[in-house]
Amino acid sequence: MKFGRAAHSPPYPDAPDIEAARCGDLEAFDRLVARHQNRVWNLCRWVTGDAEDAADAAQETFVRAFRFLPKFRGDAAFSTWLGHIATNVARDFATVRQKAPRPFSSLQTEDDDEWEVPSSEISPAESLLKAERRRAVRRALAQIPENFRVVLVLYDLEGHSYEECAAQLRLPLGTVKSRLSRARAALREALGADAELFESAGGHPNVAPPH
Amino acid sequence: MDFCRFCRARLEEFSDGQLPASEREKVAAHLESCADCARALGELESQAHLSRAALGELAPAPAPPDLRLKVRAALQNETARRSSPWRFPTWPQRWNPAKFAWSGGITFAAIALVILARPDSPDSLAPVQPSLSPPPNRETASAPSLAVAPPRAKPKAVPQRGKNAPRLTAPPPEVRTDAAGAKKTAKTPSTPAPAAKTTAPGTNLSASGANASESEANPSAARANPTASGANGRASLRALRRARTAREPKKAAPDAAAPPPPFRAPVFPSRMTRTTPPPQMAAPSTRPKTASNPPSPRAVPPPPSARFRAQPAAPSAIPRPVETPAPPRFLVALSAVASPQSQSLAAKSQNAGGRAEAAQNLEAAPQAAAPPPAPQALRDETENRAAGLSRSSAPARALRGADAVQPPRFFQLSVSATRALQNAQIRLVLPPQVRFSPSDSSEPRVLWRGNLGANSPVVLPFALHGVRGGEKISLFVEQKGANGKSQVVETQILIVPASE
Repeated sequence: MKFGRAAHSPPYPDAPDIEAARCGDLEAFDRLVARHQNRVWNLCRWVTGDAEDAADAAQETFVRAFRFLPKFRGDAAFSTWLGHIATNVARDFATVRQKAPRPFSSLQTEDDDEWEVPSSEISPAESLLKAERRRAVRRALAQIPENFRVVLVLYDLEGHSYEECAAQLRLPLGTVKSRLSRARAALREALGADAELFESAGGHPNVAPPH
Repeated sequence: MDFCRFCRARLEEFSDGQLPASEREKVAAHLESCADCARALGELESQAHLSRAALGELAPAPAPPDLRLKVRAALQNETARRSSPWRFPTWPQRWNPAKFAWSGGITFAAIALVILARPDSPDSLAPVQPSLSPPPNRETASAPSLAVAPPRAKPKAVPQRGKNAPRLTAPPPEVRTDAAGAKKTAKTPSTPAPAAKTTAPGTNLSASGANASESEANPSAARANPTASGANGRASLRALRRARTAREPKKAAPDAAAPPPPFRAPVFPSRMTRTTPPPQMAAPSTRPKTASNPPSPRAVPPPPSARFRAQPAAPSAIPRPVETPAPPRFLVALSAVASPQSQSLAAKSQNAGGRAEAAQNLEAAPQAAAPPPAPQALRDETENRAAGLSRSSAPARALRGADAVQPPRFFQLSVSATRALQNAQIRLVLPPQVRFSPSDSSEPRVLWRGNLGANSPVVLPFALHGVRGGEKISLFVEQKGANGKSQVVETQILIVPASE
């Protein structure tokens, strides 16, 4: 499952619930939470890189969203607006964590919450490779600065456009572009030798083979 | 070369396919001819490819199942705070920190005074007990504590002492295990002669404590406590109580005997229940005194208060009042009661033990109250489901069925914490269609305020309109901190037991 542009297609189911929640209807807001919690949760998880922080950040995101709902004017999609809050909250958590890292890494436990349907089509070796890749990405993401991570998550992972990234991060378009290219370079550097794990991975459809 | 710079600036958008068509053609044409730019593009694209491939490995995970619940609880708390006229949490004007800046110093001074003045010898503790008349030879020994604790109810005690002097040999265990006996003999040990200095004050303490019938039977002792001594006296009383319970672990004076809550409690449960001494209390007095045994299901259980008394105190509850940083765990039980009469008895199921004993007590309460009331206990879903018994007697059902206009349903809530909480309050937030019975609003209501003792549950009766069963009530335990702001210590969701 991939989140992204498909999330705010024209038949827009959030509108009535947003209106109700704005008047203080907790049930309606609960429906909104149910609809958007996966996306917010994953955004928080990827930006913070820590399951516990992500849970706190996700909760805080929704609480803030409810608080600021009267200010939501509806000129952007609700999911974008929510993503904006989530990004900010998660970044706050990430910077706090960066200053005061946990004494023990939560990377070990994070393998458990990685949600993957065990499939019989993948050979054990393949799944081992997959797990190895995942670990490498997480390690690399934890190394790069948090503002790079956010751009990567928003653009390369969630598939937002430059404009959407710029809107969510409240940054000029040019900054997003330059930051993205620097973030990609940083990621490659952080991956280091692990980069070859991904050489064999399936290429992106619109990427031409390197010259 | 100029065009190279133009081209490099757009390479990323070009590779992402986000370049306007006119520019894309130019760039594509340039890339055909310029090897450097083509190499740069290749570099960029491999980076982008790598980045996408790498991040694509991060599978999205479903949100944790409790996220929704947590958000809901937090929001209910927030909306409650917003709509409640009372505003416990912030108290902007009344709890102005500047206004109370001096209170810290005063508190410190008071505490220091109490600590310094507190006599260490156990003998000299006796005179601090307000309803006691200290023996003359101890007056000097307790001089420091006298300085702290202002006048005691001496005149009240003197005639009693003369009256009761011959009966000093009355054994305190009677009081502990037998509630009905306590009623009769409560007056006897309340004023001991000097010889009975250690046992008798203990009984007096418990008499003024949680047990309703005893404090009723001995109103002078119960009343003397708050009135005779001021705040300092209260503090030293508490210290005394700790010292005494340390010496006499069998008695384990419940913290319900603590000083009256600093707030004016809108519903003060023990006072409510105190007004109706249950007639059932007479029956259990015939029970043997081996009350600490777990009751067999069919046997008549001992009155909970008696069992409570007989239980040896958990050693962890006694020692120094050093605040442990570990967060308290809460045991919350919501049970439906058929009629208000049953509350008085069930409210007695105060106990000092852990969860298992609480569960036992909850099971014991309905059986003890077998004839008229029929509580069906439903545990909070986060707690153990051990006591998930649901039982309803025929009269209760008939009563409910007969009333067509949806009579209120009565509930009682029992909350206990593993650690004492000063300045706590228990607040309920109801779903919109549910109302509290006396009032007409579904406004969140503070059921109780006061000091929550360690392991001594507060039992709060309340009634609700418009509940069918299955509704979710949010429960908040909040504590007012030193800075005047409250913090939520515990949130739990209670599910209203279904009516039959």
